[in-house]
Amino acid sequence: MQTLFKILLTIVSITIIFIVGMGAGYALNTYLADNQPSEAKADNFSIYWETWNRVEQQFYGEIPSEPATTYGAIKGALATLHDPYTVFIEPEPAAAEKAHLEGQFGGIGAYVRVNEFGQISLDPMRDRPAANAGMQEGDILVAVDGQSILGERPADAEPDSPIPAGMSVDEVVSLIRGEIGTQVILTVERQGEQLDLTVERAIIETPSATWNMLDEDPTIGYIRLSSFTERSNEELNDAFTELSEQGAEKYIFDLRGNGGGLLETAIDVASQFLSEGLVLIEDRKNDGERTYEVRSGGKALSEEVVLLIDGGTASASEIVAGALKDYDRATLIGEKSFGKGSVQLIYELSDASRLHVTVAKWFTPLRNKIDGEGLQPDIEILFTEEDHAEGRDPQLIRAIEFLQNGE
Amino acid sequence: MENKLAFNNKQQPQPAWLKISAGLTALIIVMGCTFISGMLFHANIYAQSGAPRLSIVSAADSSAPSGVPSVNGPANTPKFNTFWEAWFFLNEEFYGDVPIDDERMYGAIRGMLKTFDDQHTAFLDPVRAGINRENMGGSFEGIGASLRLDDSGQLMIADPFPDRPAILAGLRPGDIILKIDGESADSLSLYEAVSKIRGPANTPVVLTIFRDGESAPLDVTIVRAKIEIEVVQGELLSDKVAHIRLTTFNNGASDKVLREFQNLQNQGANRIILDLRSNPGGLLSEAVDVSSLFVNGPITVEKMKGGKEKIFTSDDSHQGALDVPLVVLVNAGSASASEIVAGAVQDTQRGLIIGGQTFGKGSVQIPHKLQDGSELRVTIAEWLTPARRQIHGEGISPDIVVEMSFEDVKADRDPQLERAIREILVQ
Repeated sequence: MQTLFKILLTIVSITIIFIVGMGAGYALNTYLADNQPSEAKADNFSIYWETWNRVEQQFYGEIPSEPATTYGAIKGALATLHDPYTVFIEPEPAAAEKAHLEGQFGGIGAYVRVNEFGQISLDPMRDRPAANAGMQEGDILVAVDGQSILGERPADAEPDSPIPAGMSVDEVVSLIRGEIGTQVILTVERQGEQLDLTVERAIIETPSATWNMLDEDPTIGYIRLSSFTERSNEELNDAFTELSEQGAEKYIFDLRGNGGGLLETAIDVASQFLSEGLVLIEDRKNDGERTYEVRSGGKALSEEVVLLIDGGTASASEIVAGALKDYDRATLIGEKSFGKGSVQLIYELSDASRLHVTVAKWFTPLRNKIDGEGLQPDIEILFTEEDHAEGRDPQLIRAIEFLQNGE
Repeated sequence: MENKLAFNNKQQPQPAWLKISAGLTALIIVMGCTFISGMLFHANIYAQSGAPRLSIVSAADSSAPSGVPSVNGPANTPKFNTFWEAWFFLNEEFYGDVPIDDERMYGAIRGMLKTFDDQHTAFLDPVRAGINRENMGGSFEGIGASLRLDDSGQLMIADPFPDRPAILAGLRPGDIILKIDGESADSLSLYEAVSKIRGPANTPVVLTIFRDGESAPLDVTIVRAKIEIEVVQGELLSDKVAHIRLTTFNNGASDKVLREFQNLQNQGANRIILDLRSNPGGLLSEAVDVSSLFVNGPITVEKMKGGKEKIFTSDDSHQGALDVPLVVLVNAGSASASEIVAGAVQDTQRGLIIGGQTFGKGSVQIPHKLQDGSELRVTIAEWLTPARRQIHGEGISPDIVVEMSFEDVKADRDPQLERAIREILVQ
């Protein structure tokens, strides 16, 4: 159960494990709007329409609605490529994905999670609308705009035990979110009392980085990056500035569970630690090989660094870890990484759905292949179920030890 | 024990067909998706001789594609542009091999049909459709062996049928097929392989096989022949019970059941156990004809789109041909056409239903042969028993429930058949 509490479900709960180059996607989309790609059509697609006509005329049950059948056809065509990363995203989840990668969305500025009783528990971010409206950490959500989100008390539960939520976090979040500038009334329970909070929705930036000095050692700064968004690099600039002011001479950079994000951001993040050289080599279908150079302005070019990685460290995270490993710039501690070495472009289609297409494979500066392989840590330390249960982080402990003893 | 005794008492030599039946079961399970999914078909395109008696809708006539097969698609699918956008980007940018257009189109068709949320509304590409059509027709031209993929995905001879070309040419169960006519079998799907091995009778096919214990691969030349798919197996039990197992309702199945009974009748049979266990269905026309052997009157009610109904009644040529005591054996693998027969027998109290609860598949498909030889099956109706009981999702509850445990199977016991024999002998 302990691990469950640890899983903080942020307001955008989707996990993106894709590296994307959004600029190119948008550019192509603009082109498309003017020129329907009629030349792309298969010469003979008539069997599809023959099928469609017959099934539409004869099918005994209900005929599905129009976009659903087209989306089904797209997904079916994509399935023949046998590439798990070339996927189609329908408009609604596509909007959530976009908000996530841009690092901001219209909401109230609170974390939403499920507590040990199955209730929806709220935790406001500092200086955001929810906090300003009086929300406190631990408030239990009862209703949104008068609509109850409660479920039923289990038959075998005590009569006055807490009533669990009847909705998932995703459903609750979609109720809370809305147009920027509009208001939402949250009914919350606090110490047995119910109260209504009126919150005005605003643009909320989702931080991807958190940082602090370690209690165990006043010379080590700890930074955790949860994804690679458009804002990650700025956040890291702040982190390094703040931590070095507080006396950090060494860093632990935690990429565990970081499934990736934007390719551009990965290059920026690697460049925080490197002064020159390549970050990665990309091989594209049409353009052949392309290299990405380290950018100037890194803020942690000489400090000793430990990278924490695990099986959830994927994609953009592996670009950073792979480059730092090739240059012996960091020591990798933890578990073998995921092994996703392909690049997707996201195309926004005319109905606001999105298509992720694998357009390239990439390699580390020393041409190591990551796809299907993953990165081996320099020091392998497992994180066991027991460690979880007892709230221990042996990988972090080992990282501190390494920075203190040099081995 | 009764069962064992009965089997020992049988009067005609059986081992050969027992072997064939095992092989064919595998063949059918492996090669016939129809048989796997428990389809119930209108016989329109499968019937090979005579006019399809049960043809109900003209749209089923595959030779006359009425609709609007246009490249741009019907006007009522404005959103289909999204599809072409996606198609365009894949062609331009996808890193890796983009499959040929047809394969991607078949994928699109499958994906589109999936949104209908009915597993029986399905699409078979031309290769699978061809194999399936032959299976439903009751015979094919090939080498007479069932194939399957082994654990490592290699193509393997599962069971060569007795006295058929494969076994006569020396093939054995477990032989791994490396090449077919010199072409590597590595990248072939099971259906593609079957389709390449089948071919006109009296033509040769060369299989390069690997056999455990041999140092080098062997080339085996096999001359193809017409192979009848044996769907009926009969035996005489306790001197007067005809135990007739029907494994699928393909073309001609009802006549074969009748002939098999007449054969056993000549040896003294005067009652029948019709064994429909693990029979997943087949043609609706055959379900009606098999039922007609026993039942006089309504057999099934078909409920179509918009509430229109059609009642199928017993067929004159078969009607009541088998006027003897009857037990029908069923289990959870008895689906579709099997359930029509069991339902009709149960509603008319013509005989006892013994065994386990049946599968519960009460929908009817119509198969369309599309322009390129692929096949579309559309669920067009639901069927009910003569007493208008719904079968879909419910199944038929036997009059006497007898379960068969895994231990029974391992010990080669058949308590369901034993019970059926006991019940029928007192009638």
